[in-house]
This record gives sequence, structure tokens and C-alpha cells, in this order.
Amino acid sequence: MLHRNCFLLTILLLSFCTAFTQTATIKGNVFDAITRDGLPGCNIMINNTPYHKVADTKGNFELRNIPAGEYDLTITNVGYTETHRHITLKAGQTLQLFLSLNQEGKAMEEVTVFGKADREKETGSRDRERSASNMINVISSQAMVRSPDISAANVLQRMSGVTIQRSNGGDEAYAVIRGMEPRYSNTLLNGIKIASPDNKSRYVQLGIVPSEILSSIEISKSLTPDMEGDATGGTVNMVVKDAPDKTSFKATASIGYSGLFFDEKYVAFSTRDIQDKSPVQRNPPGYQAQPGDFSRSNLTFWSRQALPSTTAGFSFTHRYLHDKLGFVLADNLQNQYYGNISFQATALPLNDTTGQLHPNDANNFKEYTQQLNNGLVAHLDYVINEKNKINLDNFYLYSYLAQTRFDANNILIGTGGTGAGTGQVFNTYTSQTQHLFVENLKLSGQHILSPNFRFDWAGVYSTAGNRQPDVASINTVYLIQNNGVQTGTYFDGISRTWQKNDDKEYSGILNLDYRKRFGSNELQIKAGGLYRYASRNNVQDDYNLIPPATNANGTAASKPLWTGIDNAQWDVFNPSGTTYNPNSYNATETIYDGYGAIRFKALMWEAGGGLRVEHTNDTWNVLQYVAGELINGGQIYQEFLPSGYFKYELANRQYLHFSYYRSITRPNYYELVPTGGSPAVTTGFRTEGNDTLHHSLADNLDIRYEWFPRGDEHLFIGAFYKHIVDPIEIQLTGGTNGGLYVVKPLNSHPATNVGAEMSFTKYWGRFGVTGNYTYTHSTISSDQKTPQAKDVFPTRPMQGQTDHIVNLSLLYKDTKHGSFVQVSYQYQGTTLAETGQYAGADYFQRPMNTLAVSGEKDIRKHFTMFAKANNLLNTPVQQYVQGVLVLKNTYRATYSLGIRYTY
Amino acid sequence: MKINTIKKTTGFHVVSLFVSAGLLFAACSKSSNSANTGTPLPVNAIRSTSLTGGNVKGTMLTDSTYTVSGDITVLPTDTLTIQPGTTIKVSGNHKFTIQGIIASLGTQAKPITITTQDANPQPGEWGGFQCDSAKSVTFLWTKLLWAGGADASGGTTQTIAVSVPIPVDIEDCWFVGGQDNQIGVYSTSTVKILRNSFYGNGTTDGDCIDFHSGVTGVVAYNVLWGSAGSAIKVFTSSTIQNPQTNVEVYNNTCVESGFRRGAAEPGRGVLIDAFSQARVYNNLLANNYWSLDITPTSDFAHTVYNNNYFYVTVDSLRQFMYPAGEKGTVQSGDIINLTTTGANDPKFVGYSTTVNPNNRIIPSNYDFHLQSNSPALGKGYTGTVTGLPSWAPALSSDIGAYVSDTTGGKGNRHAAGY
Repeated sequence: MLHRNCFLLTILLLSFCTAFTQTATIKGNVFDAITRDGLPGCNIMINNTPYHKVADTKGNFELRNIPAGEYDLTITNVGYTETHRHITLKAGQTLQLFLSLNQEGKAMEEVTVFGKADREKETGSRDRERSASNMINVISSQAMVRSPDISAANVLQRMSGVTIQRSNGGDEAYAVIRGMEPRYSNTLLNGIKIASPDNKSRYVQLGIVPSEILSSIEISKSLTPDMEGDATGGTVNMVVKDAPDKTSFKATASIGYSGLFFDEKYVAFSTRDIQDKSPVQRNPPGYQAQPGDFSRSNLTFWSRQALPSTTAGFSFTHRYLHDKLGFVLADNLQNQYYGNISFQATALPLNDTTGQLHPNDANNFKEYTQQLNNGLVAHLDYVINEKNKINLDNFYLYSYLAQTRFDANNILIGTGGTGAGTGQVFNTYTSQTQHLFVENLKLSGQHILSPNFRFDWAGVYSTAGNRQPDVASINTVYLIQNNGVQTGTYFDGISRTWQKNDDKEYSGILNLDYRKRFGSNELQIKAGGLYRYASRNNVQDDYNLIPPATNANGTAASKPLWTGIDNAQWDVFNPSGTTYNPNSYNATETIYDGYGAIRFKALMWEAGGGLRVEHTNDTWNVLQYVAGELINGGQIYQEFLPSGYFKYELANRQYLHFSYYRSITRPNYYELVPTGGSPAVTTGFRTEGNDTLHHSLADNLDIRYEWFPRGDEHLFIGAFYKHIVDPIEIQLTGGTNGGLYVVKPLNSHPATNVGAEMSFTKYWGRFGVTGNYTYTHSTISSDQKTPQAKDVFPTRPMQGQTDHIVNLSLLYKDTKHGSFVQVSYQYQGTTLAETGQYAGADYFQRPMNTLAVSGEKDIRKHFTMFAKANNLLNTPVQQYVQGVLVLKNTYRATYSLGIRYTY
Repeated sequence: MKINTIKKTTGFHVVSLFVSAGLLFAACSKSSNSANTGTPLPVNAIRSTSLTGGNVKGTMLTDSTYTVSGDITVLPTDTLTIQPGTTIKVSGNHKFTIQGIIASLGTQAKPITITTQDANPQPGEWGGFQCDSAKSVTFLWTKLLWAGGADASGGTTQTIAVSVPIPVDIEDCWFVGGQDNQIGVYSTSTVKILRNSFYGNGTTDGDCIDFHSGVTGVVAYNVLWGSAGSAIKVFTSSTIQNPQTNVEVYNNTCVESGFRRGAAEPGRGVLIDAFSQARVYNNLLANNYWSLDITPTSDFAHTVYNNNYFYVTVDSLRQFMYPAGEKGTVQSGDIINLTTTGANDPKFVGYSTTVNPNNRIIPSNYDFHLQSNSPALGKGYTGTVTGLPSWAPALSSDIGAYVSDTTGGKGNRHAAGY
């Protein structure tokens, strides 16, 4: 497989003579021989002359006023074989050259701190994958920009082994890696954790991250000792634009529309009277909330044609002060209008002995959402000298959401329900706005002290938060009697909630790196540590507005009919707000990590391993709910996480890669808080935390065959095995001795997760195919009930597991005409969406086929037009329990058209 | 895990603010208030009649009037005993959280009164007895008035709430003017709910008696007038069939229940629902929105009902005596007329046939004792009832709560009103 000498030079020669010029012009484009992507920044020199040029971001160059004659050209680019070309220029001629370069066959080498690999290009991604000592999959900015996707979540779900777990509305999206719930993965920004804006979990909502501000996303499926160990499924590392070595400017703008709004109106509400703080929070202590403290305008809904979705963004990179000071500024703004039409139900056995399930609590709802996401990246680096560099990075993510939700909930079983088409229908009208932010400020340095010894450090301040002021719901009810007659609609009350949470994290990181060469072998010893202090503060204040107990003439009132928000009268049932709320809690986490690692590289193999120690100290506190109940607590534990790998070069650019690592999964902050609010509700279950919940430990084994034939072509075939002790799952428990059933996180019996993964990219001239396939099979058993309330422990997959995932994209690249087309198909097999409370009544998501298309075309110098279309098959999300439909979400296709300027 | 979130969840929250622990039962020498110390004084007497909140245990003394101006907690190892004739006035929205034992031991001669200090009482003025983690709950001859104020998370509270499997013994008590449910039991408790009177409970929602999640026991000889929701609701769970709620419901008088919640959520005189079973005999159901409702999701196969008495004076209520589409149908011993409004007048001592659904204060002329010529007399079922506990009073040969033979614990002893 040696073809590093294979050398292709394509020349298309167009001669054009004019009588009066004595000089000639060379115009051309330099591109990767395999991927046919233009190669920006490559250097075109005419030997023995002063003429030279650096290609622009698309690989185009132009050399003017060159005297006629014969010349030798030299074309160089980092990572590519130097290429020479002999040309003859006639006076007045414009010579068109299309030059293809071949990648160098480089030795295995980890990207070093001063490395020049271009992470924005797919070829750079393959370099990362090839040289990393752990198993990673990388997608580059170039591939993301060209894909049909605009958010990190959507990009991720096309990567090998990843699915995205979404909330109903589709605005919360978390990565499920290799069938492991989001809790088993961590999310990093430039290799360092970011704070979570969620009020309960530790996750970061990937749907709010515009992919345009990223230079790559790396998923690590095995860990090395210098990586944080809470990634049993894997690590998602979002790498933002960084370290410019040349000036660039890019701008992009697009406009789009959701197909849902071709035949649905958008339902909006006014946000003008929404107060940031609740009545009690904005008034002096002791204040009693009055009916007039609650606005009506945010519960006044009207329909209109949906506005188009728009995106706009730019990035600018430049080096100042004789290239010592690098500067990056990038921003991307997405303002989207989307919606969904949904159905949701629960499935229950009726009190017959067959155990057959019936739908209950059938809820038809529609959501209309405006979501504005903005990502801002600022970076400064200062190269003190060739051995010392300081970086300052700031990453700011802001997301605003305004959502209208209309529910029509028909309880089919229980009071008043006798089957479909009769019974009580609870109509709920909800408006909510939400502000999410994530900010990450990092100061870091890299220092080469001697040829053998280097170190790097970082200090990070990360904040994240969520503000949901005045989430307001109107509750109404009517009854469809058994004779089909419908009663009037009654006003059941209004709920108002103010919720906010703040996370703050302070991290310090230090890594020491010693390397020594012995002939062609190299020994590397690394050691380092991490300190992090994280705190979370959650505050929630709820109000219950009820129909007045007395009517206008002073006598007792029945529940009034609902005649619109403008006529509604209410009393504030809890004028002091909520003095206790299970969602008001504080939590802190202090982590000390230390590690030592050793790595040895020989000509044909390399091996490494080490040990990481993670010390965790978690605390929580809440207000007291019932006397004697715990109001604060915590956990302290320390785990040793060994890891090792071995990589063998089977043949040129073909490797066999083994790895083992032990990982940890810490409970979410909220899950340790044992109080759970109201102990008795008429229906449904109380949700509780569990202060004795144990963290999970997992042993992970991986094997992968890796082949990098040429360019960004690759083939990976691998398998993995995971054994998880104390896996955490949310379960229905209790009920013993007649007590209440509660929903709480518990440690299940040990689980295993085995699977296989394959991914590849292959080109044939202008055509390419890239794809991946993942098979996952996990087994876990936890407590479920029979309809007779007996405890059983059936074996089933872990929550979130998808059995088969296929991604397949067809690519067409025509460098000459600057056109690119990608058709992306995805198959997501059966997914265990949620476990049911009854054995055998788990919620499975039906397999889904989705199709998306994107394309771009250079329209003139610097300008490219692009188009993206998603969900072309109008694929709904559907969940079933034993053939009973319990969830259906329909989103429809989305379309967008845009233009990009590149300098 | 699928959480069954049904929209219609009224949170009956038991709440305790974080109260500073103060020993309020200790002798209070500086106080001029002093409990009436009859003889002999219990060693654990609560002598201060002004309770400002915190942990309380001991005995509240007979014929004394106590004021409560803070949340009271009875700790798991403690007992609060209330002697006959005691009056407790709660100022502000404060509640009793019972983790140990509550024994309110009034007598017919000296009933206990627990109410708001408000001179013009409204529903929901104080927080009731939140006994979710109690060891035992006993209320005898006690008037519980105007309870159900907001808990700390903003929800309504039940006047007596229990969600642990303990004995719940409520006999000869009065429940008046509560905001929401009066007695809510959500566990495999054994209940004795005998000879109580309920007047005008629930503002726009709330049942007099609400059972969930495996309650067993007896509900008999109660008088229940004018609740917003159902008078007696028997329910297991819409999601968990076991343990099953399984109770005896007999000789209750249910009048004018279920109107204030509106036509969309009509209240019932007696409701047997959601995987539960019951024996339902000898109940007098007059002018309830829906009278006797045994739903398709009840454990109908094991539910037995007969000899119930139906009386409606409004045409529109006739169709809901046994609501169409539900499982319950007319039984051989029932006294019911499906075609004529106003038939089978039970001849209450005092009653007006005009139903005012907005009424929450019982009219002074109402008296559900039966005249001697009442057709409900002598029509009761007195045969065997499978599973009737040995301690339970027998079924009466008369229908309704007020019966002629009051031996063996039979028959409501209350005069009309409260």
C-alpha cells in the first residue's frame, strides 16, 4: 500500500493571446488530490524569481505581470508533498492551472502544542484520529458547514455511535454515545468541562451550540489518564476557532422556513409584561401577592404567519505585532421558528387479568417555538517566543426561547373516563420564555522548557445559568358525556412559576510532559492534576391562582366557566409564594484529580498507560420540608481509574488499536437531594432524590482496526465491551408496607454493554461516500412491577440504547465549478426511550429513516451560495408500548438558503 | 421511567417550614395565660395556652383554649393528646405536622373545637393536620373548621392527610368549610370513619373523603352535605393496581355533593373508581350531581352494592343517579325512580327541594334526620357483608346515617348543624 509517490498533476491549459501585452497571468486552484477540497494557504512560487502567492481560503491564486518565458513552479502546503511543475508562458496569455497535491505519509505523531494540523479540514480530522493514542472520531468545521446541520446536536448525530436524546419540543438535546444515557458522557470545550445551564443535571444542551463557531467536534471513545474520567460512553469535545496563522474573514447569512408553517399558523404571545422576578422576589419581605401582580398579556395568544428563520455569522482571524499576537473573533446568530404537533399517552394494564395494555391520559399538544441562539468566540494568543505561548479564550453562548404550548389532555382511565371520545378534557394553554447562557473564560499557557520537558496549564472560570421568568399555564376543563354532549369549559386555575439557576465552576489544570528519544523510539512521561470547584444555586417560586371563592355579589362561587383571559378573575391562593420548593436547592462539588502516564513509541507500535485518581466531595442543602428530614448532606469518595492502550501498525497507515480504561459516573447534583416535595398527590408519583445514591464505575474495553488509505479516506472497524457497576437509573420504587410509590434514582444491578462500530469514507473522483454503522446491545435489570405489584427484575437494554444506527452520505464535489452536494440518510433503529413502571411495558421508539440534503456553489470570487433541507421524509418520532402508541411528534421538513463570503 | 403526569393533580402537600426548635410545652412561669388545671393534672400537661410553633408534645388540657401562631410539629417519638372540651384557635395559615401520634379525644358532652381565630372565617384559613408520616391518628368528637390553607409550595392542604400505613380512627367529628379534601388517605391504612358530619367543604374542588392506594376499612353513618367534589371517593390509582383500595361504604347520607366543581368535573355522592372495590349498601343519596358512580375502571367484578336510596328534585340530575356509560346499574333492593323527578322523598326533618349549587353554608333549616314516616326506614340491607371487620358497627335496617336503632355503634349521633 505504498503510494506516497503517487503523484497526480492535472493541467487544464487555456491559451489566449493578445498582441499588445508582453506579460502573462497564471490563475489557478490547488486542491487535495483525493478529497478535491481546495487547499487554502498553500504557497505557489516561481523558482528563481520574486513571484510567489499564497492561495486564498478556497485554494485559488492568481499571479499577474509575469514576463513570458519558461518557469518551474513549486507548490508547498503543510502536510502535503512538495510539488513541482514546469510551465511555459507566452506574452498576453492567461494560464489556467488546476494543481492537485497529495498528502504526505506522516509518521504517527500526536498533535503537539505547537502543531500545525488544520482542525478545520477533514484531512486534519483524519490526522487527529490517526495520531491520537485514544480512540476518537473527529468531524471538521468544513464538514459541518457543508452538512445540512446548523447545531452541534444535529452534527453529532451523524457521527459514529451517537444518537441524540431530545425532549418533547426538540429544544433540549443531549448526546447518547454508544447507547449510554447522557449521564454517562461529558461535554468539553477545548478539552475542558463547561458548566451546565440545566437546573437538575450536569449536561449541556447541544442544540443551542451553533456549529459554525466550532472548528471541530471530537468524540473520544476511550480515555487516557490525562482526561477526566467521567465518560463511560465517551467525551464530546467542542473545539472552537483557534490559533490563526493567517488573516481570514468569513461571513455567512441564510434564511429558511419550517414546512410545518406552510399549513399551520404560528401562535405567539406578548412578552412585554413578563417580570424578571416573582411578586415576592420583587417586593419587600412579607409581601402578599395580589391578583393584579400577575400579567394577562403573556397569556393572550394570537395566530400569525410564522416568520422565516434566519442565521448570520462571521469569523475574523488576524495576527498582530509581527505575528506575535493572534486574534480570533467569531459570532453566529440563529433565529429559528419551528413547531411540533404531538400526541402523548401512558399505557396501563386495565384491571383484567390479561395484563393487556390500554392507552391512558391521551394528550394532544402543539408547540410553537422561537429560539434564538448566539455563539460568540473570542481568542487572543501571544507568542512570547518560540517556546512560550499564552492564550486567552472566551466562549459565550446565549439562547432565548419563547414557546407557546396548547395541550388537550383526555384522561381515559379514572374518574370520568370511559374510553376514547368521552371523559374529561383538560385544555392547558402555556406560555414560557427562557434565557440560557454558558460562558467560559480560559487563560492558558504552553511552555517548552527544554527539548525534553514541557508543560502547559490552564485556569478556567465557567458560568452557566437558566432564567425562566413567569412560566404561565391556564388550566381549563370540559367533559364529554357518554351521550356525546359536551359541557361548558370551566376555569381550573392558573399556575405561574419563576425559575432560575446558576452554575459556577473554577478549574485549574496543570500538565507536565517529559519526552526522551532513543534512536527511533520515544518515551513520554506525563503527570498532572486538576482542581475544580463547582457550585449550583437553584431558586423556584410557584404561584397558584384559583377561581375566586366568592362571586361578585359576595356569596360562594362555583367553578366559573372560562370566557377568556381578559374576563378571568382569580385569587392568589398562596400569596407568600412558595416558601419551600424541592427545586430550590444548593449544591457544590469539589474535585481533585491527579494522574501519571507513560507512553512508549517504537517504529511499528506504541503502548501506554497510567493511573488517574479522582477525589470528589459533593454537598447539597435544601430548606426543611418536614421536621426531622435531612436538609443537607454530601458524599466524599475517591476512585482510582487505570487505563492503557496498545497500537500496532499492521501495514502502512493501517493500525490495530486496543484500549482499556476505567470510568466513573457521578450522580447529577439534584439526584442526591433526598427531599422531593409533595409526598401525596392524587395521581402520578412523587419524584425524590436519593442521598445514598452511589456513583457508577465502568470497565471499558475497545478494539479498533484503523486504515487511512489516502486523504481523508478511512475505514474503522471496532468493537467494545463495557461492564458498569452501580449503573444509575430512574425507577419507580417504594410501595412496600403500604407506603407511597416514588420515582427516584437508584443503583441497578451491574450492566453490560457490547457493540460494534464501523465507519468509512471513500472517494471516486468527484464522488464520495461517507458513513457509519453502530450496533449496541446492553443488558441491565432493575426493579419493575407486575400489574399485581410484584417486584420482578426483567433483563432489558439500558435506557437510551438504539440497536442499529446507520448514517450514509453521498458527496459530490466539483472543484472546478466550486460545487458541492451532500445527501445524508440516517437510520435509527429501535430505541428504548424510557422504562415503564410495569415489567414488559417499556417505551420503545420505532425505527426512523431520515433524509437531508445540502449543497453549495461558488457564484463568484469569495461568494458561495448554499442550501440545506432537513427531515425531507417528514419522519415523526413515535414510541410504542406493546403496540400501543404513546408518543408521536411531527416536525415536518425545514429548508434554508444562504450565502457565504470567504476572504 | 414513565412518570404518569396527569394534569388534574391537586397537590395536597404536607409542609413544614423550617421551624426553630423551641420547647413550647415547658412550663411558662411568666405567662398570665394558664390552662384550666382540673384534677388531676397530667404530668405532660401543656400549660402554656399560647403556642408559637415548633415541636410540641404532651396533653392539651380539658376546657382550655389554646392559640396557635406558628407551625406545630409532633416528632416521631412524641404524642399530642387533646382532652375533651379543648378549643384550639389557629391564627394565620399554620398547620400541625404529625410524625408521631395525634389523639384528639373529645366526647359527646365535651367536643373539641379546632378552628381559625378569624372572626369571619373563610375556607382555607389554616393548614389542618398533615399526618403523612404519623404513627397513629385518632379524632373523636372533634370539630375541624375552616382548614385547608396553602402549603409552603402553594398547593391546597387536606384537613387530615395520611400517607403511611397506620390506623386512622375518625369518629363522631364535624368537618366544616375546608378548602379542599377533608380526609385524604393515600396508603394501606385501615380506616374507621364513623358517624361524622361534613358540611360545605371544598371551595371549587375537594372531596369529603378521598381514598387512594390501598385503603381498607369502613365508612359508615356519615352525613355529608354540599361538598365541591365527591362526598365519598374510593380510588386505587390510575397507574398502580395494587395494593387495592377495598372498603365498606354503608349507611351514609350524601346530599347535594359535587356542584361547585362545575359540570366538567361533576362530583359524586359515592364514587368507586380506578381499580378499587367496595361494598356499598344503605346509602341515602339525595340531590347529588352524580349519585352513585361505579366506573368501568373500578374492580367491578368484586364490587357489591344494593339497597341504596336515590332522591332527586331536579330533572337534570335524574339521569346521573346511575350515570349512563358507567358500570353501576339499578339493583333489586334500591329505592329509585328513573322516570319521575321528586319521587321517593325520604322525608328529611328539614329540607328544601331547591338545590343551590353555590351554597357553602348549610341552611339553618336543614336536618337530615328522618321523619317517622320516612320510606327509607326499614329498607336497609342487614345481611352478611363479606369482609366486614368484626369491630365495625352492623348495617342498619334503616337507610342513611340517622337510624332508629343506635346500638352497637350504629347511627350518627349529631344534631343538625355544627
